[in-house]
Amino acid sequence: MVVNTGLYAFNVTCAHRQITPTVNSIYGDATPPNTPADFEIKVASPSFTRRFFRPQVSFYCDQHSPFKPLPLAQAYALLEWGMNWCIATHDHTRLLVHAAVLVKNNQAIIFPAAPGSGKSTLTAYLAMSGWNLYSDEMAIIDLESGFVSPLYRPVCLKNNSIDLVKQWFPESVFTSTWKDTHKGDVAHLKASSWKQYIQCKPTEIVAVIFPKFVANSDLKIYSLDQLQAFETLSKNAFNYGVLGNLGFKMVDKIIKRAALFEIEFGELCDVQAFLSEDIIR
Amino acid sequence: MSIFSNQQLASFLIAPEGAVDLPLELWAKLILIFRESKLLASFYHVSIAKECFELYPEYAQKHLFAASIHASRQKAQVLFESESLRVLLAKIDVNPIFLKGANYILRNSLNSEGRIVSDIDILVKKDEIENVESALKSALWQSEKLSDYDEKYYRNWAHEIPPLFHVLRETVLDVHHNFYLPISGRSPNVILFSSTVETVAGGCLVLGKAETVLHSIIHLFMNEDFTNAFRDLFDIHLLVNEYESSEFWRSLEILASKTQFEKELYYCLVLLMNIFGTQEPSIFPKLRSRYKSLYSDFFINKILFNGIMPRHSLLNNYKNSTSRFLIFIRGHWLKMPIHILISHLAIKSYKGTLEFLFGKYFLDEK
Repeated sequence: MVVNTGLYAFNVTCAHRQITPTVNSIYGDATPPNTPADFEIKVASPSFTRRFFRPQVSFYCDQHSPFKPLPLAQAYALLEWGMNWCIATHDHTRLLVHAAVLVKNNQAIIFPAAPGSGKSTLTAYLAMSGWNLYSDEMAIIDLESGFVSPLYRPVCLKNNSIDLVKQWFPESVFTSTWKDTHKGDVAHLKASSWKQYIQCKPTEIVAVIFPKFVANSDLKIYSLDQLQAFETLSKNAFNYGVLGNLGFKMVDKIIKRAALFEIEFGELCDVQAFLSEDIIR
Repeated sequence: MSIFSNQQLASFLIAPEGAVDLPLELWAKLILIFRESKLLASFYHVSIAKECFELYPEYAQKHLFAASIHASRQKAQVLFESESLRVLLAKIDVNPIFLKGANYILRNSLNSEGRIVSDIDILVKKDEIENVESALKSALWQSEKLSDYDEKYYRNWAHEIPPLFHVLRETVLDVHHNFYLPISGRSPNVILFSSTVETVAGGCLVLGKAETVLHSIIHLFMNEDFTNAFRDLFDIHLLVNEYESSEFWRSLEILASKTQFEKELYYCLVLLMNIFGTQEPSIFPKLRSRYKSLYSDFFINKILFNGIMPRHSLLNNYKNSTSRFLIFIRGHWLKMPIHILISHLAIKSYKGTLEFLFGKYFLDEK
């Protein structure tokens, strides 16, 4: 089974039966890639006994398993995290930043953020409200042009935001909810189709915005200086250490060209209004 | 059946232009094999040197190039760490000799291009070990908590102390006082190696040329673990090609004879010629007349030849796995006297059985 995420193709050589229908529901509409897969991956039991005795699964990239095994019920979430790991540890030809990327009018905004900041909820909300979803997890930035490329992946929602997004967008396509993972309850939202994805082209980054959800808060906007933005952006880049000078130069280029803000928000519609009116031209 | 033979894999490394017309499906497999055997970035560098990288399909170029960026970063890291270690240990009047990957990178030998380095190895005098360890530990180098058994293994029998890692940078450091376990009775006289060290730009010490090659040979042929053996043999191929001269071969021969690793040198030369097509050196006929036998032919051409094949599911077959198992047994056999070996294997296999049954992390502390 080949999973095509656009920039990277994964050959899932041995997936647990349980996850095949989920993979198909999320990636089934993608065209098969015209080159061989970039990564050979599988989700399988770490030992024979663990198929039966407190069943577990491990993620394997080719011959190796980078993480500890998880309970069988979390197999699909493990596959998604494993795919992130493959990209982050192998593709050193681009700057990879832990950030959501959303695009409107050919202008990209990247949202680097810590877990619990409401980044994925914001991503889901914007993606379901007419923005182009480039990524929920990883900004993939070309080292020459500085443009960010789209990735065909679902949005990973956690805990309360799963039900919220389902309420706001009753027609949305979700995987089942995987309970009690290390990130809490997790479900994946298919927020775009392959048809939409292939319309997305590498795009210039016009803003870097660090979001933070604060319950019941009014929208607060803080302008960031370049030094603060540099520090936070480089800290969020998975392969900043590997790229060395190349990474330094690219982060420098981004912060000098993009608008830089930190925002605190309680309501997503306020954020959308701010982005559409003040950031996107 | 393996999809590539040892000679085919070697031919891509010595004549990378041969990969230009490879179909994409085979490229995908070759990339997996070379990535697994830590040769993908080396492959990038040989293809650049032979000016055929640009002729490769884009799919291959992107994987090779990505691997080379990672390797360049490691090279910079090794240079940085070596200099920091030199400065740190100079404060206690110790000048460590850098070994293996760090040695290649510091001396900038051809095989250091794209060389993946998993740890930094240094050699210090045995009576300096205690001071070195405490100096390192007061400078953010720490060791993992080991089981009492593993601690005893390192302290009583091994040629190195338990590995250290840097708390902030996570670099792993092996501090050696010899090249092979003293308990084996085969550890060489270190002075034979340390009396010919070279100083590289920046002031770090590395082994001399012949000493570098003999250490690589000892490391490869006395080891029970053949995981990186194919890469290690390629290292030696590039080193002997680069340093080739009648004086080099003579020094290597004398050193191997003084340290009693002539037989290993012979094994190595046979494999180099068989697999990498290395030119037969002038010292070879003498070694052959001394060490060629039915047993050594079988051992080299069957066991070592099959065992050295990169360990990848696309190449694995019963011959490779049997050979690796025999090499594993032999490696242990060489390491320790039989009474210590039996208890060592009993303890290790008990742990291995638990992990086999209940998963790799079963014995970890919760």
